[in-house]
Amino acid sequence: MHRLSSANQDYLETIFLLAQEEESVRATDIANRLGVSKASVNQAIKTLKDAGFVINERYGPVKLTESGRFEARRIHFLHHLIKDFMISTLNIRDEIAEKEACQIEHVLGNQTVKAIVNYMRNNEMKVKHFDLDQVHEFLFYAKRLSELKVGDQGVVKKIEAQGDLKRRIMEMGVIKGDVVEVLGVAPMGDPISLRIGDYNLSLRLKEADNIWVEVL
Amino acid sequence: MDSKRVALIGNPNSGKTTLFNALTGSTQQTGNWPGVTVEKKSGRLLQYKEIELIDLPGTYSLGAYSEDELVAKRYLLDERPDAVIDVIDASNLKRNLYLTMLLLEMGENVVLAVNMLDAAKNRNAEVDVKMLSTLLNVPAVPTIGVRGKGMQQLADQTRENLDRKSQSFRIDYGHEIEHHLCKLERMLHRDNFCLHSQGHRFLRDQEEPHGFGRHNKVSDETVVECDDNKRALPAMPARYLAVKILENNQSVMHRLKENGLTEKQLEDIEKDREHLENIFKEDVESVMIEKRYGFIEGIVKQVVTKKRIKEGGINHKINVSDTIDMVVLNRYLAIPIFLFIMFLMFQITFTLGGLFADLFETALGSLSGLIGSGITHPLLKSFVLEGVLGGLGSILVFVPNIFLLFLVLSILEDSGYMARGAYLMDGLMRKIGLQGKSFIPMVTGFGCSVPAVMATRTLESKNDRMITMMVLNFMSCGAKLPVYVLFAGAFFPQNETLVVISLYLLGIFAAVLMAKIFSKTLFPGENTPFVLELPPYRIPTLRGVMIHMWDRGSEFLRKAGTLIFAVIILIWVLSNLPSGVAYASQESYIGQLGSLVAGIFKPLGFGTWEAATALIFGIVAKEVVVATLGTVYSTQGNLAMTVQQLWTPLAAYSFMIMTLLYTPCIATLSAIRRETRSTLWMIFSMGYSFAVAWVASFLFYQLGGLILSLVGKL
Repeated sequence: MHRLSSANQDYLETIFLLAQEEESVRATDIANRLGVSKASVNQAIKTLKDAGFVINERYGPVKLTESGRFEARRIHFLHHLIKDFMISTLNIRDEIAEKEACQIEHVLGNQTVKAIVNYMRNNEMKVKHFDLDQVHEFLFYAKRLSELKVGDQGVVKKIEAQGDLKRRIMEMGVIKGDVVEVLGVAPMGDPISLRIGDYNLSLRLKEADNIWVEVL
Repeated sequence: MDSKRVALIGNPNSGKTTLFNALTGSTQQTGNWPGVTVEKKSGRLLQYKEIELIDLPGTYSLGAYSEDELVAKRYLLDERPDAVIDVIDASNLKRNLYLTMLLLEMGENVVLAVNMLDAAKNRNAEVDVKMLSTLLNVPAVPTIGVRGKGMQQLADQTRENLDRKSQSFRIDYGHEIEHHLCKLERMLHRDNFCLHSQGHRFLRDQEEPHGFGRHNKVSDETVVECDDNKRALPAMPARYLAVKILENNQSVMHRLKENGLTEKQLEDIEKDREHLENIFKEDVESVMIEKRYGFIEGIVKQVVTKKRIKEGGINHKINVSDTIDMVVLNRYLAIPIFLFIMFLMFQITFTLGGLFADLFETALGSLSGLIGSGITHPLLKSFVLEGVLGGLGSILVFVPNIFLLFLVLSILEDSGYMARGAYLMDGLMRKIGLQGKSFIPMVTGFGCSVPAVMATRTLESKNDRMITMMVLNFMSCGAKLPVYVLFAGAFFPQNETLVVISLYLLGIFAAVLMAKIFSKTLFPGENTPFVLELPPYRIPTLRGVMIHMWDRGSEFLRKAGTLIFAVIILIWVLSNLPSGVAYASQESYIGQLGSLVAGIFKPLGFGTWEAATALIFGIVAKEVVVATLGTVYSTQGNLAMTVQQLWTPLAAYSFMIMTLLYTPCIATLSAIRRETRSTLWMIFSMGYSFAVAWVASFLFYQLGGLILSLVGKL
């Protein structure tokens, strides 16, 4: 995954939020929202574009790519997670939490984030706009294998299954770092057939749900 | 010379069976595994008769998810063969080598058969077999099973390496894990949980575990000799046991506990595991699997040269197999194609089989004429004509049908389509509480229930297995075919195929219905995972298909020659006793027996003693139903005309339903008893099938009669 500087992460998040409010996002909108010059915005857009997170024709609107949307959502989620964590657990005032979350969101690693998520889930706390059960999507920047479409390829990131099923899947050669391609779907929509390495495997969607992949 | 035992093992679809056939020729024998009574194949090497080759069920790992895999695992652990030939598919090296890793870790004396090099070449991959042999430090032979290439060399290598001491093989699991493995190995030695495979010498680990990074580099070479009397576990390398302990392998842990593993040691082991889990953030077993695959990856990189690989992705040359799948598994075309293939299967069986059957019947007719004029003794004449030719002849007529059905099933299986069938049918099967893999035994059930019952061994879940076994009987087997052909031919000559197909569909419906009921009542539970390989399509070899067909078809012939023949003689004798009665009349013993139970079948439309007798003896083998009718109606050749005069079409169809659904034959029942290891389930299967059959026939006959009378009034 491409790592962005905190400033660029902020730009990405802003584009994401603006895109939810308006139909098309322009450089001017971003500059206004963040209170920065248009030149800096253009600079940032170029970096984001090179990283494959946005599409932007000259003078045209800025559009997020699939991976851009994912990354933006991840940052956005982290922001809310940290803020709500600070408010609910540490009793910190809203404004301070908002301000500091903005900075912390860029530096926290996956492990810490995961720990916070687990803590909040265990204590039945909520994060605004997000379902903590689906947090994997943002943390691993990955999709469930079951969400891939025919023809999609992805790199296996994590196998969530337990016990025998996990061992079975792994011993059949589905290993982290391997590339899988969805070859087809059975007539009833389930199971799906995959190519993994040199052979073809079929799994039910329920099993494929347990496998997280980074889409190529 | 001493007989040596060599096990043949490999992934499913690695071409293991082809290799087995090529290596053993016609010396094969089928028997049962000791203890588990699951079918076992063994044979002697053509080249070296003193070597017995045992064909183990195909398996991906030794994790024992299904009965099949358990058999393979148990054989290796308990029988300790002199050598193991591991068949690996060169076109799918990585996954195939996983099993090799497990075998080597177990300390097996492995000879690699690197098969399907041609298929690998088609995928633009060159495999350096020599390099593979060097890297793993085991003999490796390139083979192409379908063309019999490399067999001599494989036999030679196997013989040469029979007494090879197993090499200590180590996968480097990385510093953290190695540290704990080392600790465990030491514990195992110290407390004599030993552990040496034939002459295997173990090295005492050095105190400082950090130098343990690369395998085989142990500085302190003190040899630990185990005290054989104290040895608590079968000869296993300490390393293997240590690995299994860390993986928390239940059976190894269980054995250790039984053999005096102290609470303290158990606690330590659990702490070790916990420690590793904290480091890796994952269960130790998964980490080990990953490490093994990592090790394999390294080997594959050195051994395989691939041309044209897309950067970071999958080799994009679309191969033939995937092209076929694009059509055959197409969302919209798949089901029509599937149905067409099933239709074709029956069409071949009946139409082509019918042609052969006609020839056969003509020959039989002229034979009986010939014999009839040759024999003068009346009793002997009756025995030969009515008993042997009437009874045996009426079922031998169906030999072509049955062989053809097995031929088609073999082709479906060997070509790789069967797995696609399981894939396509999974959605439907799940609706009735089963899974796609149950489809394979069910289709096999169209041939014969006995191999079908055995084929359930590939199912991982006990519930799936039980349900499948209990409903298999409803899949109309080849032996029931003669009844349909006889009655459908006699009563519905214009719609013969349609009638037969309707019975097959009814059987499927009954199976589906009962499976649904069972999954809700007797065997409730979660749907089991469905992980199935879709092997590449292969053109079945004539030889392979023929062997396959002969293996199963000859069982029918053997049955006809022994069991069925015996029953026919019994029927003939019972038909002639007490002395003085007219042959096979109601006064004869057989007539009395039939009359005794005929009442049960009265509401079904065929409450005659002849039908009752046929059904009773049909339990011995379903082929006997027609044979008995042939005897009791004492016809020579044209049974169809006789039944036409004596039965109504409605009763005939009702009788066909009964034959389709009622109690499985003795061979199937005993297979069920063996596989379930329970007499109770066998009895259950007998009783409930009969009940289902009776109810189905009853409903059909009574409702059918009602409708016909209504139609008649109009």
